[in-house]
Amino acid sequence: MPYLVDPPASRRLRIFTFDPSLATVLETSSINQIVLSIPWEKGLLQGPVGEYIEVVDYDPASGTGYAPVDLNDPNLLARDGLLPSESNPQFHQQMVYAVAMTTISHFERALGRVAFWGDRRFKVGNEYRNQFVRRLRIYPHAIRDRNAYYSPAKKAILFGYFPATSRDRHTMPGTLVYTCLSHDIIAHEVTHALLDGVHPRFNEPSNPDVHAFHEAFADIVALFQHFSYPVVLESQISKTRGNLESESLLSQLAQQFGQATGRGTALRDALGGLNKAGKWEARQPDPLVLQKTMSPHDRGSILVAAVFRAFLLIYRSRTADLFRIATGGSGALPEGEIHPDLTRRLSREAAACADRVLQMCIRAIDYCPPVDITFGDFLRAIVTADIDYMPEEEGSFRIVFIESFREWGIYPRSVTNLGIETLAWPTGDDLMENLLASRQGVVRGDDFSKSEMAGQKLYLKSFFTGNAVEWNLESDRFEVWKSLDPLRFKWWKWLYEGDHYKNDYAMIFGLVLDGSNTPATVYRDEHGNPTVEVHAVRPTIRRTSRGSIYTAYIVEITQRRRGYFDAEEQKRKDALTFEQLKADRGDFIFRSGCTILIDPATQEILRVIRTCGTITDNAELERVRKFKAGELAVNGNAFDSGLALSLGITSNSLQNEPFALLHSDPL
Amino acid sequence: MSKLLIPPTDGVTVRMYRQGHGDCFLLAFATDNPAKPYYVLIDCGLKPGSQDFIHPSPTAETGFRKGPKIEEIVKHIGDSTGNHLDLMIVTHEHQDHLNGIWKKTKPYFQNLAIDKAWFAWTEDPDDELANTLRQRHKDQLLGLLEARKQLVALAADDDGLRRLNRLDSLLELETGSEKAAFGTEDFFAADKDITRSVNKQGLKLIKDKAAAHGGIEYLMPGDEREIAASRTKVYVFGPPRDEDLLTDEDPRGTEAFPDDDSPANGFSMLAAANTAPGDRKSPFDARFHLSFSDSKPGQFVADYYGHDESDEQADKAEVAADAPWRRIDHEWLYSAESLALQLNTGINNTSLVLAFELPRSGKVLLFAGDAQRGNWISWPQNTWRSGDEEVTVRELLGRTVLYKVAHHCSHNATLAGQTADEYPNLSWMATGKYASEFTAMITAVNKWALTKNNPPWRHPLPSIRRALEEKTSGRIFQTDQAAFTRKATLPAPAWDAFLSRATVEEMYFDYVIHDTAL
Repeated sequence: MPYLVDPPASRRLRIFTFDPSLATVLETSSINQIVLSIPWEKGLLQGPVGEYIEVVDYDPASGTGYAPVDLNDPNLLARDGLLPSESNPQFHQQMVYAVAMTTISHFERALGRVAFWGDRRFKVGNEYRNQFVRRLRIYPHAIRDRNAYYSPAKKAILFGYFPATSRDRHTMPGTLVYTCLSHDIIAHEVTHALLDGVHPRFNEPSNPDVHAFHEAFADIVALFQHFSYPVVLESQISKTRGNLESESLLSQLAQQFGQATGRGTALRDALGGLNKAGKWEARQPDPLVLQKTMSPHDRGSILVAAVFRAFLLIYRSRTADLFRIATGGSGALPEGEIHPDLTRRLSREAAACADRVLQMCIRAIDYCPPVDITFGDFLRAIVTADIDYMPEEEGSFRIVFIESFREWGIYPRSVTNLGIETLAWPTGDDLMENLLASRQGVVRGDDFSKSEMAGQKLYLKSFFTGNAVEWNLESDRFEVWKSLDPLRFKWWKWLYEGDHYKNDYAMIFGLVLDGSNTPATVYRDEHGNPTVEVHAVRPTIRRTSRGSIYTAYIVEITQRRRGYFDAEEQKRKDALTFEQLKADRGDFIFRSGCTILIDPATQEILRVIRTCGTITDNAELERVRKFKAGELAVNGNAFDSGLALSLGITSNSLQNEPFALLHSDPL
Repeated sequence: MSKLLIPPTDGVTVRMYRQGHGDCFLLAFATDNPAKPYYVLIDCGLKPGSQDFIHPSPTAETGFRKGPKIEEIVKHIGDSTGNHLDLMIVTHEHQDHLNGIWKKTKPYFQNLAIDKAWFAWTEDPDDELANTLRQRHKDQLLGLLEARKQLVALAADDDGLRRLNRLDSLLELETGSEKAAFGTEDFFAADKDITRSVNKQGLKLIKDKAAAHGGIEYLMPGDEREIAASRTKVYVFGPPRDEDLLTDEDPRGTEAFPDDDSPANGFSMLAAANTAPGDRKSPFDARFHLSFSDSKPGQFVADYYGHDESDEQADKAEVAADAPWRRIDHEWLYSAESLALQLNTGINNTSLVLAFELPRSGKVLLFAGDAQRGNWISWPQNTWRSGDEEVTVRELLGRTVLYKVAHHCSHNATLAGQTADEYPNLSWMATGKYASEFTAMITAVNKWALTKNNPPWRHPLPSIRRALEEKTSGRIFQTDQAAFTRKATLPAPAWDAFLSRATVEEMYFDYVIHDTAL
């Protein structure tokens, strides 16, 4: 007889808190393992293989695989999974599953929709096909290397393991280090995979920030995930006496990995690092350092530092009262440990601030341009997303982000000041009014402009008639995918076939649909009209100022153009006809486009996020050309283009793995 | 008429051969006997094939006509020196610096007499650290060759072949053999003994010749030598005697090649590559093992990894659980490439870096080999004495009027910075009056480097080339460029003075430096 009991809401699984290294130091041994509560998956199979993740433990270098763990085994259910162990590969499987699911939950909660992995895109004959990838594959022991990476081509994460050789006091030479046992490396790589699922062309390098942004974003998610573990948080708050600006495990990433590779400390640290004397030192914000830093990981660390600083500023202001209460107003704590009650209260504040900062950052990825992301764009995205999600709030969170980014020298290229209103991406109405106002004889608010606006909106409305998609957050992901995928084509059709309003929308969206007076290098259809690609249509959750929640659509559209490393050749090719260029592929692809947020109920265009120029913008093309040809700036003390391995590899992601934890220098 | 290279009586002629993507410099120093200069040859090698991308020719299919062969270049060196080199210097053991010396039958250098030879301390057979490093290099190289063999057997797809190609380019530099030879039985039979690689044979030939005459010297950083005949002082900047700087990893990258006996070392990538597939060890106990090579439908491996080559579900909307494109059978071997790159950097950093100081004017000629960052930052550790005066690297760089740009003007091989910085960088060079004569020599064939390597080698890297153009006002020799471009701000007389000292020939550039005060 079946029990009349509902399945539990969550499954409890043990993990190494950060990685196995904490267990070997007395100070941290008490917090070396924690139990994560992850959403209960009904159909979880051995592997684990669930709805989002499939762990396939094959170790080709050893010529064997490892038997998959069955997390539904009653013996494991009763004791929160396997005990943390470096020598049991089944625990490794459990840990990657648990941490990956935690990261996915953070994303789903922030974005208000089910997470998708990037589609598999492949060519059959001349036709591109998209296939739905239900599960991200994770290989915990794929390679023998001090590296781990998300492979966009395989839709899989490959973790490495390696013998440590550093001869410092932290590491026993010959320790086998498993990257799949590092909480931070797992969270980092899963974030790469999630981002690939949001923006398919997001990682094409067209400026020094693109790869750096991916690294930074993945680090940010891993870092702020630390704050969601109360045991760790309280121990570190207690250790630092509530001063999170001093060295702590919270701001550091991949301890064991960093030590085992001879760094003497964590792989990355959002707050500081070892100075020449080997002592930890906080790093002060420096508005000039960004210009001098080009390698993706180093440049990314600046964005991480800026976001972390925003968090610290909030934490400081939110806990000032607690410190005053605890010190009788002086703010100066007495010697010794702080009171456990204060530790708990501070921890609660830190956890709340960190959660808010993480959610703001994740939400911002829906507000980024589809290609050519810069750190400045990300700032605008954070601010706009937060305005849209928390319109009623006065915005102290938004202000600290602006303040911290400014202190690190991060500004958007496209604005002339850093006011919140300036930074927010424009709405459809803003742009429509601008467009009308730019036409001769049109007066704002007169009958003509009103009727034009109404006509434009009606045109947009025509799209939604008959295209309504029924789904909700509980739907099967494949069903949602199947209902969203055709919308891409419908959007494309809507843009292509239409009355004169279509051209107005093209201008609002920063697209070029008219082939006359357009450089020949812009990709065209057989009639000579510039082509557009609609990459993604996806839902996102929003909140009105009155607190109710509703769903909007996000559409990403791009155009492409052939770019040439030689500026003269570019001019020559631009002046030809599009037929002459049909077979020409150029040296690289220049892309531009926009991300649009639309309310399907009211047919309002909520936000338009455009790249800096349209596809015909020669100055933008020149900027990308210089970057791709390696003509940029200086990195630290070496001349560098900041491009790492990507020159000339514009289309084939198989040739390198852009999301490796570490990159080696090119020749 | 004699074809001897005769320098001006008050200086030196530097001949930069245009043999290809690689280094070959003939220096003729004036001595008291105007008919008998002192000849120094620094390196002689090229990347095979690069010689055919130097001389533009609109009618040729590639856009370039074929360049002179290395045989012709070596013959020209013989003619220019009366088949007699006073001193031969090999900066480091890489193909593009020494494959023009030896071949199996009729070695290129067989008719050249060599009086003396200089090498870096890393070549010294009596130096313990050098022996350790060389042994390790040998082991690593053997390991990589083995990994390569496995990759050949496994990597059937395009991606695998591309990776194999990139690995081969790196192995080619290390052994001196041409790519085509790698797969052949001959290569593995003969060169399994790495001590008989083309590179090693080249070094040996030079050593044998020099040993029969004036002898071999292994130079240490901080050493000082004098070319007595021309009273030229030579200061040795590098390579550093510091393992970490030689590998110059961020921060240290020896984990792939552990050299102690700890048990974990059996679990390195190379350990697996060098073990027969059936005998490989797993770090986990046998009770956890699960065979991935055979399983029946319905079992985990068959369902979620799969065995079939065809993608049954390629025409479906959802990816199949056992799709072949998601498998990882040979991904682990791809690490060989990054290991080879580390090895490569390590050898580049063993470059002998020499500063030649002319006696009267104090002008300095800096030959930096392929030194990369680790080598560069070690230089200031050295100081010398001249009478009561201390001679520093900073000061010598300040008097530099000719810079042989390190490593084909690549990323990480010329450091950028300010005069005030603590590490040597381009700003340290050619300060004060010496700036007015500062000239750079770049051994790079750009078209070849960009198109025949994947990913392309950006030699020269545009940002360094541009910094050099700025600093030299356009006084740059580059293997594949027959003309110079003056920087607009440089007055015409100064430019003409430069042109009057420069000669452009198909086979070489000559550049004259007078030992007269500026």
